[in-house]
Order: sequence, then structure tokens, then C-alpha cells
Amino acid sequence: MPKKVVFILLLVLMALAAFGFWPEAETAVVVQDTTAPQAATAPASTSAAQTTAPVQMDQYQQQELQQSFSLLSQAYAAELSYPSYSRPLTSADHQLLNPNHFDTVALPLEGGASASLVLPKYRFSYPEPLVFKLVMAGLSPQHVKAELREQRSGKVLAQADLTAGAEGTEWAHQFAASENWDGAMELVVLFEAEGKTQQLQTGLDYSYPVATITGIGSSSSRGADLVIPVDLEVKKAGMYRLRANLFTENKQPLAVLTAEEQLTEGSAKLELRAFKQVLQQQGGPYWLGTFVLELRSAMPGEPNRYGNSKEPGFVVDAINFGQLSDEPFEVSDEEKQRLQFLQQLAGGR
Amino acid sequence: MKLLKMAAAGLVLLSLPLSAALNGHPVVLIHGFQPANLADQPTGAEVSSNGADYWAGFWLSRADERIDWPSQERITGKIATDYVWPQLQQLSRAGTCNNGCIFVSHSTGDLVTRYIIDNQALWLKNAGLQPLNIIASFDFAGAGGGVELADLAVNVAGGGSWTDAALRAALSLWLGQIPSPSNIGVLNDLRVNTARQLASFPTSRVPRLRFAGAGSDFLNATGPFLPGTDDGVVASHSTCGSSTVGSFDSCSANVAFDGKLASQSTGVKGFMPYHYPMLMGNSYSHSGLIEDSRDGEVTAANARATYLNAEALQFQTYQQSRGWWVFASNYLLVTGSDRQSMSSLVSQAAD
Repeated sequence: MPKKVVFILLLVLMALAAFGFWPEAETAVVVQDTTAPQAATAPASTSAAQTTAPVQMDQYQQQELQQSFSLLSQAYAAELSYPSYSRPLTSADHQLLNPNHFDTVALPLEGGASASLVLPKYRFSYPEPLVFKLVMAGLSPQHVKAELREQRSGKVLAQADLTAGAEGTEWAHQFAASENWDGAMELVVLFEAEGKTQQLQTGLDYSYPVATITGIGSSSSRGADLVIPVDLEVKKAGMYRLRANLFTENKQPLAVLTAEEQLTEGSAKLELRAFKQVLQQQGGPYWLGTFVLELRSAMPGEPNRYGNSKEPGFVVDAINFGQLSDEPFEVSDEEKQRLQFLQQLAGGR
Repeated sequence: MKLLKMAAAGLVLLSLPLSAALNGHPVVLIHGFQPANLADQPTGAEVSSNGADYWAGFWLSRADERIDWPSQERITGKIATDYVWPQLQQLSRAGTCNNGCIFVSHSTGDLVTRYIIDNQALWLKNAGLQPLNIIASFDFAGAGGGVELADLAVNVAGGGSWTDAALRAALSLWLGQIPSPSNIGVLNDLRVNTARQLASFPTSRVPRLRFAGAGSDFLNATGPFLPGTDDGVVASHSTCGSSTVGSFDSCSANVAFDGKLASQSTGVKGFMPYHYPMLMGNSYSHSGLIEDSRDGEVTAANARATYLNAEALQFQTYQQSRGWWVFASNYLLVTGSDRQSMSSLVSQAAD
């Protein structure tokens, strides 16, 4: 065979290999997890990996999925090693650290241009103004106007002509709030450029607060929990759920805390509890913030309503960490059953 | 035609086994967005018939109950009051979930399921009924993190002469039409911000198992309007259950959608509470994930992960070497995925 042909053949083979068309290897490498599934309430531990001799594929068909479920059951067991009212929080928990985050979705326009509505958050609370801006790229509209509409009725609650910023790419505005605004809203912006019009809209929530956090009481220890009493002024009775993030004094996240209780109108208290294991051996003082106060939907068709806080956060008194006990919390029967189900899927049936 | 469809659905229902439980737990199906509903505006029996058709490919014969809903309505409105609530009451009265039931959702059904998980216990308790014991959910192509195409569709429906022509074409492929402002329905709820704010963190710790694809039913025409890797309708940030919106190319930081074992700098690293990625299929499209057709091999999304307690976990798996010499790479593949559909693999593994 001429050298040139061999060389071309080699190049073709290399190209095939590079694009993944090379026939699959006949042997397999098995990475074995030597760790047995963890106990229901124990955090999962690191697994050691080792390589064994090649095996037939079919031997592992079901086992691989079981191993996948095994990993899941270990992860779920790790979740259950903390009570649901006190979940550990890290700086990677974007959603829990920013529960009111707004993501911008740009609308592509002709000629590579785009238009975006940018809001600082999704949910606003009376009496704060509704702040927003239209951001344009690749197009300069001449006339821009905005409307706030009630989603359910379509009723226009506010409208304004917008003025361009110095750069001519942003049209910022704020609507002063009204006591009558409450619920799901639609922010609609209409602009005109080169004789053609375009509409842009986004959903948001504006709440007339149904309750207000007015402060927190003195923290204390009870069993394995740091207890933080939260003071509220309730305008509308119902089942409330309060979520708040607990940070170190230096604002390092520790835990997301949840309390849920039926409250009546007037002054009320909700107790947030932080389980000993989420406190990372720190006795405080702590910082409590990122409040989400919900009046929960009592029946289908009734929307959740929201409360607010007088302050963005409060300092939580230090406690004697040593006073917190090591007593375990009770995992609910349903949670035990969920874990058992996942463990069964993992082959432990 | 409608009568024929209803008769066919009736026959399918009659042929359902008395119990199609997975591992002893009854299965409840919640379907996704059905674009044709925006024009057809189905009600009553038509909704039920559409629901049966939706799952006919695989899961219908393996389910005990369904919660069907029409896409021209809103989740917190008529979907909740007229379709979800009667079914929740029936499930409670019949004691279907007394021993724990599994919800299997597709697409927008993921968001409806999350709304149910957050509210069902309080609603049923207030009505003097026993709350449902939902033991887990299997979410295929989950849209609980929102769908950018829904944001764009609502904007295009609003009207305008500046809208990108390629976007209009992509939306027409997906929806079959450009909707009008009066029939957007559940697309309002599917918008990224609205979806992520709806029942964002249920108190109940129900594990949500995620199954994601990266194929397309629309020749990738919709891909340019979705961030990162998508399944033709929903981006990975949503299907994987990511806690953030972003351009993600895998549900894992260690495995690509095609199973290639390599660090994924654009893999999802943080998930919504109790959301766990399970399987990924590079060639499975949005609708293909719940059908009984095999669309290429499947990889395990959680071969290695760091969970709540910051400890790394790794499990036994099968690796395959592909390519040659310096081009060779290891692939993590679920054995048998070249012979069975992803839904079939999940069903067998769970039973």
C-alpha cells in the first residue's frame, strides 16, 4: 500500500476518533462505592472509589440505577438529619438567599436589537414605589410609555410617558404606590421606533401587607434549639408562614428558618427555631433577615398574600451555646416513609 | 371526531389495571402544557380525554389516577378550583395516597405539582379531609423553573412590528400559532419569574426526581431563544431543577448530557430544595421523555455530587471508553439505555 494512502487512512481514523465515531471499547471500568447506605438520620459520608476487573454490561443494568437511587437516598437522608424548620444555608443557596429575585428575559427584535424590562425584585410591598426600567440594545425608540395593569381584571392602575436616560439606552421610571394595589400585576411598556410600535410586558406582584414584622424578642435556648420570638402586627387573620435567614454577625449564612401558625388580628408572635447543628458551634450574636411572610391560601382560588418587615433585619442576641442540648428531633412518619421508599429503590428492599 | 376521541379515551380508561402502583405506591399523572388548548378551549370531558391522550405513549397504563387541566386557564385560578381541587378531594376520600403515592409530572405538570405539594395539606385539612401522603415525584422535562419561550410568547401575543421573525417562526412551531392576549392562559404562569415565585419552597419535604433531555422536536429552531442546553421547549435550568436561572449545559458538574465524564463548568451546581437530578438523555426531546421510544443512551446525572452537608458522594457506575488515543474519553452510560426508553428505565427501576 502506498505511504500516501496509509497516511490518508490514518488521518481519517484520527478524525473519526476525534468526533466520537470510533467503535466503543469492549470493556468497561466499574467505579465501586464501598459505602453502605446511611442510616435515616445520619448525614451521608464520603465514598471511596476503586477500580475492579472488567465485567459484562448486562450484569449492571438494574444495579446502576439502584446506585443512582442510593446516592439520592443518602442525599435525602442528609436533608432529614435537620428538622424542616431549620435547614442549613450556604452562600451557594442563591434561591433561598434571594427569594425575591427578578430575572430579566430579553425580547429579540428585528436587526439583532433587543428590549428588556428590568425590575429590582419580583414582589413589591406598599408603600414602596414600583421601580423599573426599559433597556434597549440596537434600537432607539422615540416614544415610550408604561402602564401598570391588574392581571385579573386588566384594569389600568397607573400610566406614564418615560424619558430616556443620558445614554439613550435606558428608560427608568417609578410608579408611586396606591393603597388599592394588591395582587398579581402586569407591567406593560409600549414603544415606537421608525414608525413601528412594539409592546413588552412582565408579571410582578404588588402587596398591601397583611401583617408586618415589628421586631424580635430576646432569644433563648430550648432543648437543641435557639428560639427567636418574632413580633408581628397582623391585619388579616389566617395561616401564616414566616421564612427568614439566619446569618452570623458578619452576615455569613447559617440557616433558613421556617415557622407556620394560625394568627389572629392584632399583636402576635411567631417563634423561629434554629437547630443546634446549623449554628456551626457559634453562640452569636446573629443577624436575622431576608423575611418572607405569607398569608397562605386557605382554599383553591384564594391567592397567597404577603406581609412585610419594618426593618430589613434584626440582631439576634448571643446565647450560651453550651446550653443547647444534643437531643434529636423527631422525623415525621411521612418523611421516614419517603426515605424508606428511596432506599427501596436503591435496592435495599 | 370529539366523540371518537372520547370513546377512545374511555376504552383506554377501561383497560387500565385496577392498580398500577410503583413499588406498592399508586401513581398520579399530571400532564404539561398543551398548545392546542389555547385555540380549542376544552372543558369537562374534553380535558380528561386530552389528558389520557397526553400520556398514552407510556405512562397511561402504568398510572392509577390523573389530574388533567386545560392550558387556557391559570394555575391559581380555574386550574386549581375546577380541575385540581375536585381530584385532590377524590384522592383524599378514596384514600389513594394513604400508603404514599407517587406523582409523575411532565413539563408544566412540574409547576402544578409543586403548587399542589405546597397547598394540598392545608386545603384538604380546612375542608375536613385527610391530606395526601405524596411520597415522591418523578418530573420529566420539568418546567417548574419557568420557560423563556413563554415570556417571549406573551410579549409577541401583546403585539408589535419589531418582533424578530425567527422568534415568531420558532413560537409558531412550538404553539402551532401565535396566541392572542385573550388566550395566553397558563403561559402567564410559565414565565420565568412568575413560575419561580409560585410555591417556590414548599414546607413539605417531598423529593423531586428530575429527568432531563437535550434533544429537540423543532430542529433546534427554538434553541437560540433558550439559555444553555434545552430540550426544544425548556432550558436546563428548569428541567434540572436549578436554584438559579442560567445558561447550563448539564444537570451535573461532572457529567455531560451525553454521558462524557468531564468537569462541566456550565453544569448546574445548586438545586431547588429537595430537587435531585437523576437521568439525562442527550437525544431525548421535551415530548420524547414520556414516550416509549428510545432516543439514544441515557446517563446518570448524579454520579458524583456534593450535598447539604458539603460531603462528596460517588456511586458505582458503568463507564465506556470512546474515541481513540489522545481523543479517547470516558462516558458514563446507563446500561440498557440503548434498548429501552428513559420512561421505561425509570418505571422498571422504581418498581
